[in-house]
Amino acid sequence: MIIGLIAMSGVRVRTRELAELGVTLPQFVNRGKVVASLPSLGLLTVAGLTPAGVEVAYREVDELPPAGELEPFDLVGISAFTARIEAAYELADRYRAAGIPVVLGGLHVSMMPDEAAEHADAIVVDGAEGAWPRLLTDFAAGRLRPRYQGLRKGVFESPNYAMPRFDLLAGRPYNRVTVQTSRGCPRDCDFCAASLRITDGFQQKPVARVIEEMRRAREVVQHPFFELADDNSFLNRKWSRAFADAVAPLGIRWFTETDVSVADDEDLLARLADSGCQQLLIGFESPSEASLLGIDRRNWKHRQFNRYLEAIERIQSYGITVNGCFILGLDSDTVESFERVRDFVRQSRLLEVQITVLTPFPGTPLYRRLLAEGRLLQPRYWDRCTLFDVNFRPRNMSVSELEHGLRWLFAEIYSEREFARRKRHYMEIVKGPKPLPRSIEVQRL
Amino acid sequence: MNRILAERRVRRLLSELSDIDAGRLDGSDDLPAVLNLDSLATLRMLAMLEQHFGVRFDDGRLGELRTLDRLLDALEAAQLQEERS
Repeated sequence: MIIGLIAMSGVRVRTRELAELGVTLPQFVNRGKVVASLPSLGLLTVAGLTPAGVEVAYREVDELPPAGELEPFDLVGISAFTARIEAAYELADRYRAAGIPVVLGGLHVSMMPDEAAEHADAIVVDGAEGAWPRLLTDFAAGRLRPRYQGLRKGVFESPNYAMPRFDLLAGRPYNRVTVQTSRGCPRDCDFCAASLRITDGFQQKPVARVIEEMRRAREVVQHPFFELADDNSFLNRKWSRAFADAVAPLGIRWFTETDVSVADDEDLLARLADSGCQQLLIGFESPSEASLLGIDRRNWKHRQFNRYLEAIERIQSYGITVNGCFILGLDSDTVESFERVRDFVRQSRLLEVQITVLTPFPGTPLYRRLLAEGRLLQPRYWDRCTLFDVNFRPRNMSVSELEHGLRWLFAEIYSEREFARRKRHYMEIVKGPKPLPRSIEVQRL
Repeated sequence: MNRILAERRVRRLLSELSDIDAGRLDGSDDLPAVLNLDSLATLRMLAMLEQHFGVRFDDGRLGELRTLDRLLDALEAAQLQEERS
């Protein structure tokens, strides 16, 4: 039996003016390109959950033969972001029409199981752990069921855990590899469509398992840059210290997402810098205190507002760049908000910035609220869930004002002038008085 | 400092930093690619060169400093600027 696992990542901005802007502002598309170039950790994990003796072929959708030709797999598994899910459904329909059974899984499928089930012989909801092995047993016995419920807890514990099959990346041009150390995030921001939607509570992988995954990935990919596929990596400080200390001897470079509270712990920051941590992506969401109210259930982010600037400066002083994320279109945002973000970015001297538009991903509290308020522009807009296309009516401005403001802000933030300013600031930090952590050195090869 | 001396020093520094024999680099080689430097590591290299030579590169041209030839041109320009100021 050969199982074809097909990854569909990467997004394409739909709004023409924004797509054109991306051509002239390389920094604007930079992060999107990086995300598109990452292998699918979900499918590598599915491969890891597949019993030995069953052959698995990993494919990126762009590698598939041209339309009309289909590889002769016995079973196909497809995972896609919301923005690519319509294309995933089309591909699934083609395989099914050719008599090849299809399994769909991933975050979107977990949020919209009934929709996905129309295009699949079986769907996997939530994590593949606990579901995929049963599905394969049933498939081999000729009694595939339409829906398999994955585990929502205990996914990193034996016997549920499986090492992702990084060996499937051999010979491919990846230079970035994802490793997951946790699922979930207690902040529970209402727009978040990440792993917290498929887990009950925060789950953390033992440090030894993460390190072993990194070692395995490094055997296959030369000098990989590791991206931790986490919602919020450093909630458990004891684990975080142990992780940083264990990563340091590997001599790797890595990146992850966390929240502003990491700045409270200078001992941890020093260890992270020493461990090769290059960048922390932090969702500041807005430079306006009012816009942060109600973003998460406990108003945690609203309470952090006053220390944003100090936290950015402290983290960056360790040579770790902060990629500050801001969302435009929040309910309290007005046409004044765009300038406010630009001014905050300048004032904070953030070394990298990610600007996105509020996006009501299916399954999120935000989606349900905007749907109930009749503010969604179309009933089904999945291919526009790019984080840059506007899909809803903002509260305090028009759709076109939001789109125009975003384009203005992109042009400001990602201009050569601003980019040069950020690069200079980083160089001054590197030359600064603080003792340089090991990762500040140009990486020795 | 004359260009030949500056070039020797830059090559030596790059060799020390990357463990690659920078003596064999061509003036037009793309340094980040040859030395396997990501964007941050490239900036760290430039910062280190600034510190070593006591100069400051033109902020607007940092992105162009990807080859030995361009680096040496920028060093010359920056040193000239230092002397004038």
